[in-house]
Amino acid sequence: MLKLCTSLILIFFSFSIQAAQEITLNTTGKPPLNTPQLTGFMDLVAKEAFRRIGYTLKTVQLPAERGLINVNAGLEDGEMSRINGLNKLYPNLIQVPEKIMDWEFVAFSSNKISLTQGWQSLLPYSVAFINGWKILEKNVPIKTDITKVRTPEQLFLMLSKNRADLILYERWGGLLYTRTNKITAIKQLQPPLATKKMFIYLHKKHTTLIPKLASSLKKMKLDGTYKVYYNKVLAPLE
Amino acid sequence: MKSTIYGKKNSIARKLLVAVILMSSAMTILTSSYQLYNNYQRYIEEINVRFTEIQTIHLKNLSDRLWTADLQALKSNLQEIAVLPDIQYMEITETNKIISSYGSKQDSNVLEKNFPMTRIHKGEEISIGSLFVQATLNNAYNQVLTQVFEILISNAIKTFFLAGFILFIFNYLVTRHLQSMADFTTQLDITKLDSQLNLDRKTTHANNPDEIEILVQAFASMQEKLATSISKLKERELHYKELVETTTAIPWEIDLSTDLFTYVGPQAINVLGYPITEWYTENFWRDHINPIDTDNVINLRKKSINTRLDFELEYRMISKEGKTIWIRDDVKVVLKDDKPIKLQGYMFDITKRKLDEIELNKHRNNLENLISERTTELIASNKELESFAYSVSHDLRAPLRGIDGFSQILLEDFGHKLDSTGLDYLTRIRTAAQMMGQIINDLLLLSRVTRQDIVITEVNLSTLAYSVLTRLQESTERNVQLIIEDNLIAQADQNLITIVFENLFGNAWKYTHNNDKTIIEFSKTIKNNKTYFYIKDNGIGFDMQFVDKIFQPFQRLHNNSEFEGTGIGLANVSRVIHRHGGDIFAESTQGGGSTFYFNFNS
Repeated sequence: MLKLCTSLILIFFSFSIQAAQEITLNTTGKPPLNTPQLTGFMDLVAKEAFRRIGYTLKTVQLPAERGLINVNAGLEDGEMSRINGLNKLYPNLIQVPEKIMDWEFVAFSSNKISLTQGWQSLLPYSVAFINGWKILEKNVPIKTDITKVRTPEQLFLMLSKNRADLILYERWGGLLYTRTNKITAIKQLQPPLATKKMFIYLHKKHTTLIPKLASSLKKMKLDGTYKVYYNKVLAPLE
Repeated sequence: MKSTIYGKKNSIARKLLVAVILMSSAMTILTSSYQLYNNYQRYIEEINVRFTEIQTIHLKNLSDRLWTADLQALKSNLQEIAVLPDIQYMEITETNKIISSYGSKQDSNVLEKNFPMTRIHKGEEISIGSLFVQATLNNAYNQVLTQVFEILISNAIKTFFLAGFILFIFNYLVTRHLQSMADFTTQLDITKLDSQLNLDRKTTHANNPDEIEILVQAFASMQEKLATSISKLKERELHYKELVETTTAIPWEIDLSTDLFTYVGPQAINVLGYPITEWYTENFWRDHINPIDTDNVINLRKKSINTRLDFELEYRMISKEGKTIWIRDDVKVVLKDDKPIKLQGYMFDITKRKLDEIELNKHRNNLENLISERTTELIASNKELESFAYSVSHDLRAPLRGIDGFSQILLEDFGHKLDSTGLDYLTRIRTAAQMMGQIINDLLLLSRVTRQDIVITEVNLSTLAYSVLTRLQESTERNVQLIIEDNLIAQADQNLITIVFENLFGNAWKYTHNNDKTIIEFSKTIKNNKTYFYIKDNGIGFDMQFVDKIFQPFQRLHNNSEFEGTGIGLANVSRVIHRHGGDIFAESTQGGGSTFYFNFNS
């Protein structure tokens, strides 16, 4: 009888331990970086990284601001990809020091436009980008003819209807869109306007996981796993 | 039996009720139509305000969404706009292609508006599409219909109560009193006009009576006047009846629809003997006409009725005693709407006059026969006498010419053998023979004037007078002033008038030959309202006591030694004038001249 009770208690705890190893990250990314089926590049990297420290990854798609607020309040466990230094604004968030990837903010256009002057190159053109993308809102010169939209589809439609000379978007998302929609006239312009390191953030209740996860990511880059995922998901779009 | 005003189809109250309902309904329809129209217009205005709201508030946003190809946001925005009342359908078109739409499109009862969608791009405003908005008018129509229904119901209720109230008040104040007056008038006996009209109402102030009170007073006044008039009428009726029935004529009247007498004067009893009641029986009059006259009388009566002309007829009736009574009937055809409805007339008993006429006719016939016989005899005798006188006169001229002729031979051939006495005798024989010859000539002329046929022509008397007087002037040189009016014309026999003028102007010439200054005038004048020609002289004139003699043959007022003449001239003049149907007379004063007036009525 005692054995039976002990066995039941162990089984119960073992299930409890198993449930505590699931972690939920919020993601604002789009394919090919994030997908609901966790087949995006960052999904694959993060899933592997968490797997290696004993966690199963789940993601939720929330609007950018809402995601941060929720994570800060402890409703979700963390954010999958955010720029450096957000913990100053959201004190309950802790940045994983190893970047998950670099995001390149590039311009797409059907015209050949030189961007050698960086952000200032945009000044003579009509530019469209997605509303709420802070880096773009901050860096695109104020005097530029700017149109803000809600979805990437709108961006490319505007471009195709000549309502914008060029659109600003994340590199891989843009490439995937042109590839998927077989748009050959629109090309990504060089060089990228900005490159941002993206980091995973976890709620402070997961403070103990931060070094493990950073270590896990670093190992994946070293052991070629990271490269495997890159080649699988992103390289075909280049 | 009194009847209530509510039960009468043609009562004033009902008419008033209908008028109030019709007027009220008409006014309600008029005002409601205006109000409904205004409401409808206001509704349309509200829809237009919504259109303006869409244009001012949403269009920019929609244009931004369309510009950024944000179809989801467009849809969402259209949904927001669709919340506005009456907005039925919207669609956004881009280059003739519907990009987004919301709601269901309606075919009719809609108000539509197209809003062009533009965008400032690179400093230029460019068209990027259009927003079509369709607002349904169903709600407006439903609202108007609901209002119509509410107005109709409320008006019906209001009109019902108002009409009922007016009906009650009008009945209380007016119609029940009118009904009382009508009942009173219906029951009013014309022979008893002293009954009084009393109404069930408070008497108004005497100095300020209302209309009903004035009507009652007028009614009483009329009643009084009516009573006076009827009394006077009765008196006059009695008077006229007496007048009519005291004449010898029988007044009567027949109704042509029944052909029966409706009145026969009591004189009929005295004239024909039948009681008046018998006259009122069928065919009485016809049956008592003498059968000799019946057909003529009935035919004349029928003809007169058909021609609608009054007529007179004389016929015989048979009296109760079997005597023949002559009747003169003066009949008047009484018309109504140009149709004869009655005959009225007077019958006169003319039996005595008729018998007198018959007797008189008998005598007249005898007298005419007698005169005819005597005239025939007289004409024969006259002709014989004229023939005798002519032949005597004619036959006397031959021996007279013998006496004068042989006396002249004797004087010429044997005058130297006679002494002065013998010569005087012989001269006297010749003068007497010539005088007798003149007399015979005048007698023959008189006879000719009497017998000669008259040929009437238009004669210029002035010209004739000049002609005669010129001849006289040529025969004797004298200082004579002639005053002759020009162009005096008459219808007469030229030859006979010449005889008249020769005699009258000859007399004027003759009886003025002693004058130093002779004036002879021929003109015309009015005497006793008749036009007369006159010949006036300033000769010796004559004594008016002998005026009747001057136109008789052989009557002379002067000695032959003074003035020659046979005394037949004026007789000839008178006879000529009378044969023309004219008239002749003379005026004269001794020593003051004579004037002969004459005319021709031929």
